[in-house]
Amino acid sequence: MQAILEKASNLIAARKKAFIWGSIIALCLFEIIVSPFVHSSMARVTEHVENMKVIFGIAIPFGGINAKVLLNTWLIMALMIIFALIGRRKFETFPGRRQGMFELVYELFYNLAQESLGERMARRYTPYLLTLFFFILLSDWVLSFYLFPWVEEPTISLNTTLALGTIAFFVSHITAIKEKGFLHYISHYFEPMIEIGPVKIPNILFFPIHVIGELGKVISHSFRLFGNILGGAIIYVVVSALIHEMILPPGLILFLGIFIGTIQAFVFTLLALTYITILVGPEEEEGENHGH
Amino acid sequence: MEAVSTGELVKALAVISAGLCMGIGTLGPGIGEGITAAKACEGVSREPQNAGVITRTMLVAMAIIESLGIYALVIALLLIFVVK
Amino acid sequence: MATDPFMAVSVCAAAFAIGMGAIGPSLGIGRIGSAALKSIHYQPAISSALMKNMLIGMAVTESSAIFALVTAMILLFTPVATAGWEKMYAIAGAGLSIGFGTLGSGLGEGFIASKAVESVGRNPESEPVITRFMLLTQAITESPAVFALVISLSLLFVDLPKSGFAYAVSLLATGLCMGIGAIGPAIGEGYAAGVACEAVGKKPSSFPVVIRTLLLGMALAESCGVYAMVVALCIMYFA
Repeated sequence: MQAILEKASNLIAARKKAFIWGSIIALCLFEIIVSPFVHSSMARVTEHVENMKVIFGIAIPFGGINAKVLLNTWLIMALMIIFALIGRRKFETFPGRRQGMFELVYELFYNLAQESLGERMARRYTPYLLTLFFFILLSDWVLSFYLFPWVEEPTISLNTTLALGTIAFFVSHITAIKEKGFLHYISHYFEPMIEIGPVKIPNILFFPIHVIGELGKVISHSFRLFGNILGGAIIYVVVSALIHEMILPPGLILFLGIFIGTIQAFVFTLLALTYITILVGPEEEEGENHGH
Repeated sequence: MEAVSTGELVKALAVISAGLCMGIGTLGPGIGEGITAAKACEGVSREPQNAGVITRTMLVAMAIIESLGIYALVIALLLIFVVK
Repeated sequence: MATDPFMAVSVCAAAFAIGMGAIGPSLGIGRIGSAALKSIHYQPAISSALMKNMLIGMAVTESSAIFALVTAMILLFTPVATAGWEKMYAIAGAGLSIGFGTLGSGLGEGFIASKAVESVGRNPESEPVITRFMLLTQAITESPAVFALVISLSLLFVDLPKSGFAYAVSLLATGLCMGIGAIGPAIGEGYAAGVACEAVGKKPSSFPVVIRTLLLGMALAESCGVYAMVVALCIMYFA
């Protein structure tokens, strides 16, 4: 009986592997064959560069709407909402395959958050982390559909990544104020304090250092994602144009879009969680340490 | 290009030196603070119950190392804003 | 085209950007590879976990080089429209900034990942903690390179408010300042995170305490990089 079960599970595993590899190879072959006939030219590089000129030149606010980015943001939002609706169709005590998959995904970030933040806050912030992660992940994966002319990642625009970075900034600071109280939160900006005997005097010299550090955090947080995604897109366009879209583009898309995109999405979410953790401070963590 | 006046030349040199000053001035403090943090983390990992003392010592050391970076910053800002 | 000075400066700046900018990440990635090979030699049974960490670490270290490559491509393929001769200095400054800026980040991130792979080789049970730790600290160590990229892009795309010889040289100084200013902090942060990675690998339960101390230290080391960026922006806008 054991032998039959083992054989059955091996067969299922082999079939799954064959399915996954087969679909990847089929997709690559399809893109290799279709790419040279799809119009993709150097115009895309200049288009991205024009976008950046507008951002860095700080033109008129609301003067122009980046239609492609907006459209793709809506597309990804629609995908995520459909995904979520499928997930919450029916909650059972003994989860079937569908619910099991969603629980797996939820626990991925719940465990991360719980280790750093403690259970109560982890429950509150896991939805935020999940949304952040899946938004960036889907927006990088959407690059695989590059053959459609109006598909592009929303994170390719500095607006999106700066917005995500600003949201993370506000979430972390408002959480800190809510959890620690305003006085305790502000005292963190004056550390390390000058101690004269039992009296601690706030050290004003370190205040600008901390403020600049916080602003630097936001900038690096958003620009890292922006640089990686935009960089990947520019590399892809330029290299494809140079080799006239022969054979290589799907490999580039796989590496630049999917591999690096997944890593960057995870890093972004992890950093957002870390910013909340350091600002909320050590009290939460010591409670969890005893719980370990 | 036309000839460059002395005043502009002085300003140009001041700005270049401000850039070099700040740029090279972050080499030392950056690496030093990194080594400090590394040893502090090692100590904390070896004996987590002393984490408070170790962190405070590290912060004191960081403050002193940071002051060198601040010297470079001050000189750079002086060169930018005061030289006319 | 043959006597276009803007194109000449762009080409030189692009060459410098990617030529100099690939040095740091390459050294880092080589270090990761050698650490992975050493660990696989000692522990062949967990080679899949080691290779996974190696590949992830290499991919993140590579992104600094991708920044340099992207700047080089923008420099090569974007035609400079109507611009004064000061733009040439801005282009040179952009090349300098990103060329020097990725040196520290590449070395630092490479050090972190190499220590991470070694720790997993020494203590395979710490693997999930180490991978997360490595990704987090590599991301923070990348910040100085990101700042250098920001300065490069602003030098290329912002309309210059002033003109004159002094201002043109100040654009060059901006790039130089941010470029060289990004080296030290990144190396320091990388060294700190690498040693902390080793410590966490030996004792994974000390992860929360160590990460707190480490992030504090890295934030302070980062402030020097932020000073460099502040001075660079001051030079560009206020001098």
